Amino acid sequence: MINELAETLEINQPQSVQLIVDSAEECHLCVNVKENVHCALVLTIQNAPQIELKLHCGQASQVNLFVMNESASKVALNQTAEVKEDGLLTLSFAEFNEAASSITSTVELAGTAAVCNMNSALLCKMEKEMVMMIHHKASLTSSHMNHSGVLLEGGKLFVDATGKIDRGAKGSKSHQKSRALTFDQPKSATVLPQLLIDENDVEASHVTSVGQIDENQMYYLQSRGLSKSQATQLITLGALMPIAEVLEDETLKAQMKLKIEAKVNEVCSM
Amino acid sequence: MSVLVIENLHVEIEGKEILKGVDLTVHADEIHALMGPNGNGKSTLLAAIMGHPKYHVTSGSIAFDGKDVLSMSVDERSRAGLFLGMQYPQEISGVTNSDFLRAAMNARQEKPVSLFKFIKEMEGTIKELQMKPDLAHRYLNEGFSGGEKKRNEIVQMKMLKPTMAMLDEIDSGLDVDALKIVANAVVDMKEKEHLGLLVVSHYERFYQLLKPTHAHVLIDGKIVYEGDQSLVEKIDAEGYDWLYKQLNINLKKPERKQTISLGSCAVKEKAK
Repeated sequence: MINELAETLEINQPQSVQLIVDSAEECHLCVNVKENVHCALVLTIQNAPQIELKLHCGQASQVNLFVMNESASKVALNQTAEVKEDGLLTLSFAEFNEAASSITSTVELAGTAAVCNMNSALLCKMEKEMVMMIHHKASLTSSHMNHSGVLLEGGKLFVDATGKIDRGAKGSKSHQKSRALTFDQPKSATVLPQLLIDENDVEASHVTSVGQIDENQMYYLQSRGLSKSQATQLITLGALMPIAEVLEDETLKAQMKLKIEAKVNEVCSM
Repeated sequence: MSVLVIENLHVEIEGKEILKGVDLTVHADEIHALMGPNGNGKSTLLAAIMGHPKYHVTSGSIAFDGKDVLSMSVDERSRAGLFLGMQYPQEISGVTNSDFLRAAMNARQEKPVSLFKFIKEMEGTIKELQMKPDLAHRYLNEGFSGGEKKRNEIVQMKMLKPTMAMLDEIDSGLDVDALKIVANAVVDMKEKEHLGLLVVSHYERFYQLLKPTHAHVLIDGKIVYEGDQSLVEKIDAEGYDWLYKQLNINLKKPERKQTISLGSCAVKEKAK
């Protein structure tokens, strides 16, 4: 449990860490993962107006950071990370709470062949904003962003996702996929996918979709006996549930799935 | 025993009339082959029976076991026992086959199906259709080949146990072996569950395996000719020209506007 204003965590050996942030003040958290260490971190935000999270992933380390926002009031999270040579960072943001939030995430792939897989799943009943950048500074680095948002009545989503490849970062790959499903106003979601590339020898792509649930998909599900609300529920679950798959601990994964299912059932049956 | 009765059905899409008075009755234990050239209303008929929102029934009636189908929503039609195996099954990302099928099975019974019973039944059906064992955990139709999608439609049909099934070109995209597997599964279900079937296909090979009890030819929105399996064989051998001649059908070809490019000769175009 973190309720101190500043905390530094040194991870020298393989382990799973669960952190809970519950603080009325701004929090600073620094996590250093040493080289060749494999660790899984689950950070649950219960309360904190502002969080500064710094992550350092050592050479050939494998870090899986899962951030779950459960706060009932607005949270502003500013997260930065640096991934060294051959390091692998899996970074996930899950929000199913009924409060506004603002996430800024910047990942620097600083060493050769460093990898970052970034995922997010947001159920929006309030205003949520995500500004993310994965910066490729070395050769053979690769990144995948996968963002999924479902907007309910009154929800607003703004996603700015950038993949940046510096000159000299040869053989790098930057791919991103963003999807926002809306139930009423398609205008309530804005997704800005960006690729800033200063090198020729790269692979890069982005896929974005923003819009209401496809009429043909609804018809298909209904033609198998599901009511409109059951079909909506299933499609919403389908958009958000894959985030749980990144959790390595099977118990945590099962708990997360139940949590997502309960929340979606609650809001879709309203 | 189930019975589907369609009377004088007129259907339009975006203001254009596609079906112009279809009469058809399908009983349990019967297999009806619905044939006809492309674009004459076969898929429209099946979609209208299932209740696709784009198809507007302007007149006529559809009754299933005496109940008015047209007053039911799509899901109500399914729960009443109708099933449509679609020509282009939808891909739904993030929704696994097993979650979807379990939800669909639970939607049609008061008590939720037990997990053990569901897994056993799903594994058995996947095996019967000779699909990969990971089917249950894959997202619904996402990344499936054309043949896998069609076989997955039959997996759903077997699991949901309808009493009246419509199959819309379910044989397209299937290889020779898969065609046999699908046909055997359909025939097995018809024999065991007394399923009634309305099947659209262009290929006699599929009908040879299904052995339809009735055959109908739909041209220009109307059923113009009826028979049994021998009609399917005749069409396979001779096409539809003999029917056009026999019934004196003259189909109007849609007018095609000729595009005049900068390289065209204006004098020749005018003379046409």
